[in-house]
Amino acid sequence: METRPDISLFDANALWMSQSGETGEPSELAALFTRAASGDAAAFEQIVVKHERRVLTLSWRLLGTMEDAQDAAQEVFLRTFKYLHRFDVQKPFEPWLVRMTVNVCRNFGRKRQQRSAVLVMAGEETDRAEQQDPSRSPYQELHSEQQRLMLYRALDGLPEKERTAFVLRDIEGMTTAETAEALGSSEGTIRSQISSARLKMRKLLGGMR
Amino acid sequence: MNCSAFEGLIALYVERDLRESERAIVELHLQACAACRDLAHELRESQSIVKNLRQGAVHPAALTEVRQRVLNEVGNLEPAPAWVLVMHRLIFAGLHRKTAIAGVVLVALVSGGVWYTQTRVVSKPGIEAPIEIASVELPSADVPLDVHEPLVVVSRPVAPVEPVEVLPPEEESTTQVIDERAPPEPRVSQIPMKFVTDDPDIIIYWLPSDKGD
Repeated sequence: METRPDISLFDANALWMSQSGETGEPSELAALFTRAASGDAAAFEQIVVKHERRVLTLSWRLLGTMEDAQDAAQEVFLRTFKYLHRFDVQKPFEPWLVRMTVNVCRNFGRKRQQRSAVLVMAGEETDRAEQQDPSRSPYQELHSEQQRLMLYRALDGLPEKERTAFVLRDIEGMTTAETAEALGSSEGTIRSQISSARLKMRKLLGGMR
Repeated sequence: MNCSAFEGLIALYVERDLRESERAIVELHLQACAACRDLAHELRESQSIVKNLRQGAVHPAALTEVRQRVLNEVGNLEPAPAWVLVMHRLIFAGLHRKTAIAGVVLVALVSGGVWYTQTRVVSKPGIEAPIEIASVELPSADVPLDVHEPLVVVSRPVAPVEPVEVLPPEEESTTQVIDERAPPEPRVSQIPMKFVTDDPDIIIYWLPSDKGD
């Protein structure tokens, strides 16, 4: 069964900082990107290592299955390698990468024909996709598992644009402005989408309260 | 404003996504409406469940697998050529992409406008251009040439025309045959002029009369 990351293992803020924080001097990062854009595989590997967790986690949340998320993350990094020369090294890399991840996941979502099959596949991936917390009892694990599955079903019931805005704003924890930039929309549009999504999620998650 | 109009605002209110003025209006309504207070409470609960997804991490094996697949694929890919990198840096150096593109479009529009304006001035109707003559062959620089406007001499002076030679009648002929079709013998005082225009098919000859008109 497909699961979400365990909530008791990690502090949200620390995780967010580790996922999104740009570390290193700007000049060093610029040099790294320049080398990678010139075809330096070692430099590109450093970029992948630094950002793979963020890309894979976001893809997982947007697509709902680890198998699709891995395929999407692979596609994101291959596109990154291909178009890295277009990236302005004076700007932060994360928003550019998030935007590309969202676009790739949208394409994957459109290609996915049978949504019901996703949930069946999701249930078979728990052990491989998620780090387990050994301190929790089997009952707690089962309860968390059920919650996650219901969340997936609820997310799956949202329209694509609302789901994407909701995931970025309320699960990824981005600000409304960051979400708007990543999706190429206005803040007003994003506010409207997340407002609608929250109301729908309230109804869809009614049985969990 | 009824309660249904507040639903969307309350959904934003619970996550502090409202502006100060909107928040004050919603809070005022919540104080007076029990149903909307329940809605706000339910929204907070569902949001707390959703935020459970914010924490956690994917399994390291999943990350490793993705990294290996990416690096294997990258080894087979060709990076962008060096000249593409250089050109991209030159064109977009220090500029936002949209700014650079807008600049190029602006320059193109201004250039096109200037070119169009100049073209229109040259071909403005209603002004008759004077007849231009490409060259004028003058018999001699000392002979005054009475050429009036609008004739304009635009090219170089050319060598003077050789004076017409008047040949005496042939001695062998005993009977003088007068050919009426032959042109009259030119007189030295009659100085022909030849005007050559830009059009090679148009050549203007000026033959003065006996009176010198």
